Amino acid sequence: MTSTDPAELEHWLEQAMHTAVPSDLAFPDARTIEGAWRRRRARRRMAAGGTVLALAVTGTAVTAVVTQPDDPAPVVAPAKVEAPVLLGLDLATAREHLRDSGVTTPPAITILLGDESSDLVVLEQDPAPGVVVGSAGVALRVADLEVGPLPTRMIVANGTDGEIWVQFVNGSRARVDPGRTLRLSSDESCSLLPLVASAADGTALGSYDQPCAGQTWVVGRDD
Amino acid sequence: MATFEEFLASRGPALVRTAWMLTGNREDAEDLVQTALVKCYGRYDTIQAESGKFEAYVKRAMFNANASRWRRHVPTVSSDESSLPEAVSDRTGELTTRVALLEALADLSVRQRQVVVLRFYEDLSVEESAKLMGCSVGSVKAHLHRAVATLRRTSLLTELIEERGIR
Repeated sequence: MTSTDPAELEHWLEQAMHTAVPSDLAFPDARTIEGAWRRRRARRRMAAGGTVLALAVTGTAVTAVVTQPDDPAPVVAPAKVEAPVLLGLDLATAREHLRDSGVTTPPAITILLGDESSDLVVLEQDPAPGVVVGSAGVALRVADLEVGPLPTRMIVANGTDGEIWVQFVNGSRARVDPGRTLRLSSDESCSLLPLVASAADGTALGSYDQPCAGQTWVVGRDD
Repeated sequence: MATFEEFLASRGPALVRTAWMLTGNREDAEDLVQTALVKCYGRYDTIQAESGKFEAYVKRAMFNANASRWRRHVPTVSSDESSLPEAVSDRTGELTTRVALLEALADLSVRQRQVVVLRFYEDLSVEESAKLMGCSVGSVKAHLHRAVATLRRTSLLTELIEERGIR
């Protein structure tokens, strides 16, 4: 086998390497990079014991808000859904709810509905891994963010025939439809007791101040 | 200071070309660039403000990711058919050069290939290459020596150089 002179080879390499590269290679745009970076950071936080606090939805784009036990600052990361999200609450109600609640860190896992504004809908079901269920029972699958089962610190169940509102001491409120539940899953939400439940017309239904211990408070039942 | 978007618009094409040289195919090159950028993105403002050397930082991440990927997957493809729109039987011009180059580079170890890319494509000095690869100057020289020795024995490359009359 013949071999090439090293100097010739190096000369050829210098020329060839600059002419051989395809001219139509694609590179990612800045938003893709930023989104992937945020997802990566969120996954790390999830792996470190973080919790998905909220999902912000704009059209079909979903953003997860993830916290980490030793870092109160939430990480916001894009997530993906398999289909457009349709929730039972109309946008006007969701906006009203958000305005009333005035919270930036919701007391339970929530979906933030939004076009330009942030709107809030409280989820009422325990999510299976990768799936959270909206207030209308419409499954929202988070495709590429590991949404693990959230801890259940306490459950508020609506045992009445109508919708109820559960208010936290910081003024935030969550609507719970008949037969549905509201789950508290964080120290923060458990620090916002006592809870006060009221009917849609404002009638007081009761209050609850027992520490979170995994129990269920059924509103509308005396026992 | 340029925004990250501006940086990517101006330097993105060069990064993906370097990645193509390291990987030999389009998909892996694009993945490699994205992997490196995602790792580095969070430090863009700091690095650009302090030294303006974010591109070098990304390249180093690319080279590290490339080495990790190489350790995980034994390369089996010596040329990238997806980046060869013309028939492979056409052995003239740019396409022939590309095929010969990819086949030759595929015979190198990952570190040898990295050194060749840095020296002959990026046009970096041995010292600059060592800094980017995170190794000693002597190591770069050794890798380069072995790479050239291997390439000299590549028959397709030798034939091509003889055909072109460079000798």
